[in-house]
Amino acid sequence: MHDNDPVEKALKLWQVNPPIDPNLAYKVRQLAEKRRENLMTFFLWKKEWSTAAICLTALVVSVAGLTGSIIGKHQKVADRQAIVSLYLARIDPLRITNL
Amino acid sequence: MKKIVKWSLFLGLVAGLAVVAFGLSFAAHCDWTTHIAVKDKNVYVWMQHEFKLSDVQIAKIKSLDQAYMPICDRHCEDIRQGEALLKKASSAQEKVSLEGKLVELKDACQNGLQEHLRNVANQMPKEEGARYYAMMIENLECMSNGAMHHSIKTVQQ
Repeated sequence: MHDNDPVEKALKLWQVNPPIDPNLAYKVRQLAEKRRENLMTFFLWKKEWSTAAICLTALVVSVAGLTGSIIGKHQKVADRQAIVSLYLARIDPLRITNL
Repeated sequence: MKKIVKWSLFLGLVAGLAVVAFGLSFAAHCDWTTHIAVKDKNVYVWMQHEFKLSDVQIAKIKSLDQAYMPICDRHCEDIRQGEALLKKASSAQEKVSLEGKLVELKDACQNGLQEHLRNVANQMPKEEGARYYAMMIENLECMSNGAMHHSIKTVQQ
């Protein structure tokens, strides 16, 4: 990416053949510095957002998974209770209807 | 506009992953065979799955249950008659006598049921039979105590 940047190209070229106008060279160097800073800021910002997004996703998925397991376990116990009651009601209806 | 699309995609992806995580976790912890058996009210499908029974064993248990039903009906009828007589009783002495008789009938019903449960348990592998019997007795006790919402976790093992 840097190889295609005209500012970087110019800087590389000037390392061999420095420009005659020192003011222009200074301005170009400043511009390059600013660009690098902007680029770094952009990547840092992007990195932070990526980290935040991954953490948020992981948190949401973990909470969803945990909720699923808790509800699943409750469902299992409730189903077992229901089927045992159903079985006992079949073999001993009076006891169940008397409750 | 692009940002909104990006955010929507991201939130959609998170929601999708959450739904998948919930579904997988729920499916892993829920007992589907029992769940379907409850929906179909098919206790024998559950029993076969829960106590790892063969087709022959479950057929034997079905026949035992069917054979027990008229015995249970007779116990129920005797208890109903005993209760009706107790309501009609005029003297205190008659009441005491009928109450005693009713207790005997209820005991006979209880013992008959326990014996039937033992017979069913005997058709199962030893450990499973013991688990079945403990599960049924605990539930009967809980039902008799009116604790309908008690958990049977303790006998799940």
